[in-house]
Amino acid sequence: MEKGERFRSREELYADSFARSFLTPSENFNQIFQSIVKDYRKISREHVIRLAHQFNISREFCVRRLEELELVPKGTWESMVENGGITEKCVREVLRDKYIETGYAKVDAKKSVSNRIGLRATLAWEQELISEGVLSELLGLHRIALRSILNENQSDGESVDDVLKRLNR
Amino acid sequence: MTFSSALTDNFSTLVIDTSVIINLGASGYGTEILQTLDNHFVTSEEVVGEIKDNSKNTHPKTISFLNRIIDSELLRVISLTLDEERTCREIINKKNQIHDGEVVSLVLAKKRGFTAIIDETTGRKVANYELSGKVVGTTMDLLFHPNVLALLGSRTLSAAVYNALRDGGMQTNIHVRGYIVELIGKEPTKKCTSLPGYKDLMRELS
Repeated sequence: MEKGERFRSREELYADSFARSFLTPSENFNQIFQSIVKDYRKISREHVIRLAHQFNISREFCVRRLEELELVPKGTWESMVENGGITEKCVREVLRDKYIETGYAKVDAKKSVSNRIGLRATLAWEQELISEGVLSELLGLHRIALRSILNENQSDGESVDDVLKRLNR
Repeated sequence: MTFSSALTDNFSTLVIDTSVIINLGASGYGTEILQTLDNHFVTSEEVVGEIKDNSKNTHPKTISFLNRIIDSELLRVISLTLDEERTCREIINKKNQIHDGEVVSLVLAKKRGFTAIIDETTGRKVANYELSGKVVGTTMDLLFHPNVLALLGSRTLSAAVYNALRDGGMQTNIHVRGYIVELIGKEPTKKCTSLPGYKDLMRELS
Protein backbone atom coordinates (compact mmCIF):
# COMPACT_ATOMS: atom_id res chain seq x y z
CA MET A 1 0.00 0.00 0.00
CA GLU A 2 1.15 3.49 -0.74
CA LYS A 3 1.11 6.34 1.79
CA GLY A 4 -2.37 7.85 2.04
CA GLU A 5 -3.99 5.00 0.09
CA ARG A 6 -7.31 3.76 1.46
CA PHE A 7 -7.46 0.12 2.54
CA ARG A 8 -9.59 -1.96 0.20
CA SER A 9 -10.65 -5.55 0.59
CA ARG A 10 -9.51 -8.23 -1.84
CA GLU A 11 -13.10 -8.47 -3.19
CA GLU A 12 -13.17 -4.75 -3.81
CA LEU A 13 -9.85 -4.92 -5.65
CA TYR A 14 -11.08 -7.83 -7.79
CA ALA A 15 -14.31 -6.01 -8.58
CA ASP A 16 -12.41 -2.90 -9.63
CA SER A 17 -10.04 -4.91 -11.74
CA PHE A 18 -12.96 -6.67 -13.45
CA ALA A 19 -14.66 -3.34 -14.13
CA ARG A 20 -11.48 -1.91 -15.67
CA SER A 21 -10.99 -4.91 -17.94
CA PHE A 22 -14.65 -4.98 -18.91
CA LEU A 23 -14.93 -1.30 -19.72
CA THR A 24 -11.51 -0.92 -21.30
CA PRO A 25 -10.15 -4.25 -22.57
CA SER A 26 -6.39 -3.70 -22.64
CA GLU A 27 -5.84 -4.72 -26.29
CA ASN A 28 -8.55 -2.44 -27.65
CA PHE A 29 -7.67 0.34 -25.28
CA ASN A 30 -4.00 0.20 -26.31
CA GLN A 31 -4.91 0.04 -29.95
CA ILE A 32 -7.23 3.04 -29.89
CA PHE A 33 -4.86 4.99 -27.64
CA GLN A 34 -2.08 4.49 -30.22
CA SER A 35 -4.32 5.57 -33.08
CA ILE A 36 -5.29 8.74 -31.19
CA VAL A 37 -1.85 9.82 -29.98
CA LYS A 38 -0.09 8.76 -33.20
CA ASP A 39 3.47 10.13 -33.10
CA TYR A 40 3.10 12.54 -30.17
CA ARG A 41 5.49 11.78 -27.36
CA LYS A 42 3.40 13.29 -24.58
CA ILE A 43 -0.27 12.76 -23.91
CA SER A 44 -2.38 15.90 -24.12
CA ARG A 45 -5.80 16.78 -22.71
CA GLU A 46 -7.22 16.45 -26.20
CA HIS A 47 -6.00 12.86 -26.39
CA VAL A 48 -7.64 12.06 -23.06
CA ILE A 49 -10.92 13.67 -24.13
CA ARG A 50 -11.00 11.71 -27.38
CA LEU A 51 -10.07 8.40 -25.78
CA ALA A 52 -12.56 8.80 -22.91
CA HIS A 53 -15.24 9.72 -25.42
CA GLN A 54 -14.49 6.67 -27.55
CA PHE A 55 -14.92 4.34 -24.56
CA ASN A 56 -17.69 6.31 -22.83
CA ILE A 57 -15.70 6.55 -19.62
CA SER A 58 -14.75 9.44 -17.36
CA ARG A 59 -11.53 11.33 -18.11
CA GLU A 60 -10.07 10.37 -14.75
CA PHE A 61 -10.87 6.69 -15.24
CA CYS A 62 -9.27 6.93 -18.68
CA VAL A 63 -5.98 8.40 -17.41
CA ARG A 64 -5.84 6.02 -14.43
CA ARG A 65 -6.24 3.10 -16.81
CA LEU A 66 -3.46 4.47 -19.04
CA GLU A 67 -1.25 4.75 -15.97
CA GLU A 68 -2.09 1.21 -14.94
CA LEU A 69 -1.17 -0.10 -18.39
CA GLU A 70 2.04 1.96 -18.23
CA LEU A 71 1.11 3.83 -21.36
CA VAL A 72 1.61 7.12 -19.52
CA PRO A 73 3.74 7.84 -16.42
CA LYS A 74 2.21 7.44 -12.96
CA GLY A 75 0.89 10.72 -11.63
CA THR A 76 -0.28 11.98 -15.04
CA TRP A 77 -3.82 12.60 -13.75
CA GLU A 78 -2.59 14.53 -10.70
CA SER A 79 -0.34 16.60 -12.90
CA MET A 80 -3.25 17.42 -15.23
CA VAL A 81 -5.43 18.40 -12.25
CA GLU A 82 -2.69 20.63 -10.86
CA ASN A 83 -2.46 22.37 -14.22
CA GLY A 84 -6.13 23.28 -14.41
CA GLY A 85 -7.64 19.85 -15.17
CA ILE A 86 -9.91 19.14 -18.11
CA THR A 87 -12.77 21.59 -18.15
CA GLU A 88 -16.14 21.15 -19.86
CA LYS A 89 -15.11 24.02 -22.13
CA CYS A 90 -12.09 21.99 -23.34
CA VAL A 91 -14.33 18.96 -23.90
CA ARG A 92 -16.83 21.01 -25.88
CA GLU A 93 -14.04 22.44 -28.05
CA VAL A 94 -12.53 19.04 -28.81
CA LEU A 95 -15.72 17.07 -29.37
CA ARG A 96 -17.70 19.86 -31.05
CA ASP A 97 -20.94 18.33 -32.39
CA LYS A 98 -20.24 15.05 -30.60
CA TYR A 99 -20.36 16.85 -27.26
CA ILE A 100 -23.53 16.09 -25.34
CA GLU A 101 -24.00 17.51 -21.87
CA THR A 102 -26.20 14.69 -20.63
CA GLY A 103 -23.16 12.46 -20.21
CA TYR A 104 -21.58 9.61 -22.05
CA ALA A 105 -23.39 6.81 -20.28
CA LYS A 106 -26.78 8.06 -21.42
CA VAL A 107 -25.58 8.43 -24.99
CA ASP A 108 -24.15 4.94 -24.95
CA ALA A 109 -27.35 3.53 -23.50
CA LYS A 110 -29.29 4.85 -26.48
CA LYS A 111 -27.10 2.98 -28.97
CA SER A 112 -28.25 -0.42 -30.21
CA VAL A 113 -24.84 -1.80 -29.23
CA SER A 114 -22.61 -0.08 -26.71
CA ASN A 115 -19.09 0.96 -27.67
CA ARG A 116 -17.41 -1.69 -25.62
CA ILE A 117 -19.62 -4.50 -26.93
CA GLY A 118 -18.94 -3.18 -30.44
CA LEU A 119 -15.20 -3.23 -29.82
CA ARG A 120 -15.27 -6.72 -28.37
CA ALA A 121 -17.42 -7.97 -31.24
CA THR A 122 -14.98 -6.47 -33.75
CA LEU A 123 -12.01 -8.04 -32.04
CA ALA A 124 -13.65 -11.48 -32.04
CA TRP A 125 -14.60 -11.06 -35.70
CA GLU A 126 -11.14 -9.85 -36.73
CA GLN A 127 -9.59 -12.83 -35.01
CA GLU A 128 -12.00 -15.07 -36.93
CA LEU A 129 -13.45 -16.46 -33.72
CA ILE A 130 -16.97 -15.74 -34.88
CA SER A 131 -18.60 -15.01 -38.22
CA GLU A 132 -20.63 -12.00 -39.24
CA GLY A 133 -23.82 -14.08 -39.41
CA VAL A 134 -23.48 -15.41 -35.87
CA LEU A 135 -22.63 -11.94 -34.53
CA SER A 136 -25.61 -10.39 -36.26
CA GLU A 137 -27.87 -12.99 -34.63
CA LEU A 138 -26.31 -12.55 -31.19
CA LEU A 139 -26.51 -8.76 -31.25
CA GLY A 140 -29.92 -8.65 -32.97
CA LEU A 141 -28.64 -6.37 -35.73
CA HIS A 142 -29.10 -6.63 -39.46
CA ARG A 143 -25.83 -7.35 -41.18
CA ILE A 144 -25.40 -3.93 -42.80
CA ALA A 145 -25.78 -2.26 -39.39
CA LEU A 146 -23.33 -4.76 -37.93
CA ARG A 147 -20.86 -4.10 -40.73
CA SER A 148 -20.84 -0.39 -39.96
CA ILE A 149 -19.96 -1.20 -36.33
CA LEU A 150 -17.20 -3.56 -37.46
CA ASN A 151 -15.85 -0.95 -39.87
CA GLU A 152 -15.94 1.79 -37.26
CA ASN A 153 -13.88 -0.32 -34.89
CA GLN A 154 -11.60 -2.10 -37.33
CA SER A 155 -7.94 -2.04 -36.34
CA ASP A 156 -5.61 0.07 -38.37
CA GLY A 157 -4.24 -2.74 -40.51
CA GLU A 158 -2.50 -4.09 -37.42
CA SER A 159 -3.36 -7.22 -35.56
CA VAL A 160 -3.82 -7.12 -31.79
CA ASP A 161 -0.59 -9.09 -31.48
CA ASP A 162 1.25 -6.49 -33.58
CA VAL A 163 -0.04 -3.69 -31.40
CA LEU A 164 1.04 -5.47 -28.23
CA LYS A 165 4.46 -6.26 -29.66
CA ARG A 166 4.94 -2.64 -30.64
CA LEU A 167 3.87 -1.46 -27.19
CA ASN A 168 6.28 -3.80 -25.47
CA ARG A 169 9.24 -2.71 -27.57
CA MET B 1 -3.41 -3.79 -61.43
CA THR B 2 -6.11 -6.32 -62.30
CA PHE B 3 -8.40 -8.70 -60.50
CA SER B 4 -9.00 -12.05 -62.06
CA SER B 5 -12.34 -13.63 -61.13
CA ALA B 6 -12.08 -17.16 -59.78
CA LEU B 7 -15.31 -17.87 -61.65
CA THR B 8 -13.97 -17.25 -65.16
CA ASP B 9 -14.70 -20.40 -67.21
CA ASN B 10 -16.64 -21.86 -64.30
CA PHE B 11 -20.08 -22.93 -65.50
CA SER B 12 -21.17 -24.83 -62.43
CA THR B 13 -24.21 -23.91 -60.37
CA LEU B 14 -23.33 -21.22 -57.85
CA VAL B 15 -24.74 -21.44 -54.34
CA ILE B 16 -24.91 -17.96 -52.85
CA ASP B 17 -24.88 -17.02 -49.21
CA THR B 18 -26.67 -14.24 -47.24
CA SER B 19 -23.73 -11.90 -47.35
CA VAL B 20 -23.51 -12.17 -51.15
CA ILE B 21 -27.23 -11.41 -51.51
CA ILE B 22 -26.78 -8.34 -49.29
CA ASN B 23 -23.83 -7.10 -51.36
CA LEU B 24 -25.51 -7.68 -54.71
CA GLY B 25 -28.69 -5.99 -53.46
CA ALA B 26 -26.72 -3.00 -52.22
CA SER B 27 -24.81 -2.77 -55.52
CA GLY B 28 -27.99 -1.58 -57.24
CA TYR B 29 -27.20 -3.80 -60.23
CA GLY B 30 -27.55 -7.25 -58.66
CA THR B 31 -30.18 -8.52 -61.09
CA GLU B 32 -28.25 -7.31 -64.15
CA ILE B 33 -25.04 -8.84 -62.82
CA LEU B 34 -26.61 -12.26 -62.29
CA GLN B 35 -28.20 -12.06 -65.75
CA THR B 36 -24.82 -11.57 -67.44
CA LEU B 37 -23.44 -14.83 -66.06
CA ASP B 38 -24.01 -18.20 -67.69
CA ASN B 39 -24.26 -20.01 -64.36
CA HIS B 40 -27.40 -21.09 -62.51
CA PHE B 41 -27.86 -19.64 -59.02
CA VAL B 42 -29.26 -21.39 -56.00
CA THR B 43 -29.58 -20.64 -52.35
CA SER B 44 -30.88 -22.51 -49.35
CA GLU B 45 -34.12 -22.15 -47.41
CA GLU B 46 -31.96 -21.26 -44.39
CA VAL B 47 -30.52 -18.22 -46.19
CA VAL B 48 -33.94 -17.08 -47.38
CA GLY B 49 -35.25 -17.65 -43.85
CA GLU B 50 -32.49 -15.55 -42.34
CA ILE B 51 -33.33 -12.68 -44.66
CA LYS B 52 -37.13 -12.90 -44.80
CA ASP B 53 -38.37 -14.40 -41.54
CA ASN B 54 -36.31 -12.02 -39.50
CA SER B 55 -37.39 -8.96 -41.45
CA LYS B 56 -36.95 -6.62 -38.47
CA ASN B 57 -33.27 -7.47 -38.57
CA THR B 58 -32.90 -7.22 -42.33
CA HIS B 59 -32.28 -4.20 -44.49
CA PRO B 60 -35.38 -3.53 -46.68
CA LYS B 61 -33.19 -3.28 -49.80
CA THR B 62 -31.97 -6.84 -49.23
CA ILE B 63 -35.51 -8.25 -48.95
CA SER B 64 -36.76 -6.54 -52.11
CA PHE B 65 -33.71 -7.70 -54.08
CA LEU B 66 -34.13 -11.27 -52.86
CA ASN B 67 -37.85 -11.27 -53.77
CA ARG B 68 -37.04 -9.90 -57.22
CA ILE B 69 -34.47 -12.54 -58.11
CA ILE B 70 -36.62 -15.38 -56.77
CA ASP B 71 -39.72 -14.13 -58.62
CA SER B 72 -37.82 -13.76 -61.88
CA GLU B 73 -36.41 -17.29 -61.40
CA LEU B 74 -32.84 -16.08 -61.45
CA LEU B 75 -32.39 -17.67 -58.05
CA ARG B 76 -33.75 -21.08 -57.09
CA VAL B 77 -34.35 -21.91 -53.44
CA ILE B 78 -33.51 -25.48 -52.52
CA SER B 79 -34.07 -27.68 -49.48
CA LEU B 80 -31.57 -30.03 -47.92
CA THR B 81 -31.90 -33.78 -48.01
CA LEU B 82 -31.76 -35.67 -44.72
CA ASP B 83 -28.17 -36.68 -45.44
CA GLU B 84 -27.20 -33.07 -46.12
CA GLU B 85 -28.92 -31.96 -42.91
CA ARG B 86 -26.89 -34.53 -41.00
CA THR B 87 -23.64 -33.23 -42.53
CA CYS B 88 -24.66 -29.68 -41.58
CA ARG B 89 -25.19 -30.71 -37.97
CA GLU B 90 -21.80 -32.41 -37.90
CA ILE B 91 -20.06 -29.25 -39.17
CA ILE B 92 -22.01 -26.96 -36.82
CA ASN B 93 -21.03 -29.17 -33.88
CA LYS B 94 -17.37 -28.88 -34.86
CA LYS B 95 -17.36 -25.24 -35.99
CA ASN B 96 -19.90 -23.25 -34.04
CA GLN B 97 -18.35 -19.92 -34.99
CA ILE B 98 -19.95 -19.91 -38.44
CA HIS B 99 -23.55 -19.23 -39.28
CA ASP B 100 -26.03 -21.95 -40.28
CA GLY B 101 -26.57 -20.33 -43.68
CA GLU B 102 -22.86 -20.53 -44.50
CA VAL B 103 -22.72 -24.16 -43.36
CA VAL B 104 -25.68 -25.05 -45.58
CA SER B 105 -24.06 -23.33 -48.57
CA LEU B 106 -20.85 -25.24 -48.17
CA VAL B 107 -22.66 -28.56 -47.64
CA LEU B 108 -24.60 -27.99 -50.86
CA ALA B 109 -21.32 -27.29 -52.64
CA LYS B 110 -19.81 -30.42 -51.15
CA LYS B 111 -22.68 -32.81 -51.79
CA ARG B 112 -24.05 -31.53 -55.10
CA GLY B 113 -20.90 -30.27 -56.82
CA PHE B 114 -21.96 -26.62 -56.75
CA THR B 115 -19.52 -23.75 -56.29
CA ALA B 116 -20.00 -21.93 -52.98
CA ILE B 117 -19.98 -18.14 -53.02
CA ILE B 118 -19.20 -17.01 -49.48
CA ASP B 119 -17.72 -13.64 -48.46
CA GLU B 120 -17.18 -14.16 -44.77
CA THR B 121 -13.54 -14.92 -43.92
CA THR B 122 -14.50 -17.34 -41.16
CA GLY B 123 -16.98 -19.11 -43.42
CA ARG B 124 -14.44 -19.29 -46.26
CA LYS B 125 -11.85 -20.76 -43.96
CA VAL B 126 -14.19 -23.58 -42.94
CA ALA B 127 -15.31 -23.99 -46.56
CA ASN B 128 -11.72 -24.29 -47.78
CA TYR B 129 -11.17 -27.02 -45.24
CA GLU B 130 -14.43 -28.89 -45.86
CA LEU B 131 -14.30 -28.58 -49.64
CA SER B 132 -10.60 -29.45 -49.77
CA GLY B 133 -9.27 -27.33 -52.58
CA LYS B 134 -12.51 -26.66 -54.47
CA VAL B 135 -12.96 -23.07 -55.64
CA VAL B 136 -14.89 -20.91 -53.17
CA GLY B 137 -15.94 -17.62 -54.77
CA THR B 138 -16.88 -14.23 -53.33
CA THR B 139 -19.10 -11.33 -54.39
CA MET B 140 -15.95 -9.80 -55.89
CA ASP B 141 -15.62 -12.81 -58.21
CA LEU B 142 -19.18 -12.21 -59.41
CA LEU B 143 -18.68 -8.46 -59.88
CA PHE B 144 -15.36 -8.90 -61.66
CA HIS B 145 -16.46 -11.73 -63.89
CA PRO B 146 -15.40 -10.83 -67.47
CA ASN B 147 -19.05 -11.04 -68.65
CA VAL B 148 -20.06 -8.24 -66.28
CA LEU B 149 -17.47 -5.85 -67.69
CA ALA B 150 -18.16 -6.94 -71.28
CA LEU B 151 -21.96 -6.64 -71.06
CA LEU B 152 -22.52 -3.88 -68.53
CA GLY B 153 -19.41 -1.76 -69.11
CA SER B 154 -16.89 -0.24 -66.73
CA ARG B 155 -19.10 2.64 -65.60
CA THR B 156 -21.81 0.28 -64.33
CA LEU B 157 -19.21 -2.00 -62.80
CA SER B 158 -17.62 0.92 -60.99
CA ALA B 159 -21.01 2.11 -59.70
CA ALA B 160 -21.95 -1.41 -58.57
CA VAL B 161 -18.68 -1.88 -56.66
CA TYR B 162 -18.96 1.57 -55.09
CA ASN B 163 -22.59 1.02 -54.00
CA ALA B 164 -21.83 -2.43 -52.59
CA LEU B 165 -18.98 -0.98 -50.54
CA ARG B 166 -20.71 2.19 -49.40
CA ASP B 167 -24.27 0.95 -48.86
CA GLY B 168 -23.67 -2.71 -48.17
CA GLY B 169 -20.36 -2.52 -46.31
CA MET B 170 -19.05 -5.27 -48.60
CA GLN B 171 -15.94 -6.97 -47.21
CA THR B 172 -13.04 -7.40 -49.61
CA ASN B 173 -9.53 -8.70 -49.58
CA ILE B 174 -6.66 -6.28 -49.01
CA HIS B 175 -4.95 -7.52 -52.21
CA VAL B 176 -7.70 -6.06 -54.40
CA ARG B 177 -7.88 -2.74 -52.60
CA GLY B 178 -5.59 -0.98 -55.06
CA TYR B 179 -7.62 -2.22 -57.98
CA ILE B 180 -10.85 -0.97 -56.38
CA VAL B 181 -9.37 2.49 -55.81
CA GLU B 182 -8.30 2.57 -59.46
CA LEU B 183 -11.76 1.51 -60.61
CA ILE B 184 -13.98 3.78 -58.50
CA GLY B 185 -11.63 6.73 -58.05
CA LYS B 186 -9.98 8.33 -55.02
CA GLU B 187 -12.83 10.58 -53.85
CA PRO B 188 -15.54 7.87 -53.85
CA THR B 189 -13.08 5.54 -52.08
CA LYS B 190 -13.14 7.87 -49.09
CA LYS B 191 -16.77 6.91 -48.46
CA CYS B 192 -16.03 3.18 -48.50
CA THR B 193 -15.20 2.53 -44.87
CA SER B 194 -15.46 -1.24 -45.24
CA LEU B 195 -12.29 -1.41 -47.34
CA PRO B 196 -9.63 -3.31 -45.42
CA GLY B 197 -7.13 -1.02 -43.66
CA TYR B 198 -9.40 1.94 -44.38
CA LYS B 199 -7.64 4.32 -41.97
CA ASP B 200 -4.24 3.54 -43.49
CA LEU B 201 -5.65 3.99 -46.95
CA MET B 202 -7.05 7.41 -46.06
CA ARG B 203 -3.59 8.49 -44.93
CA GLU B 204 -2.16 7.28 -48.25
CA LEU B 205 -4.81 9.10 -50.26
CA SER B 206 -4.65 12.42 -48.41
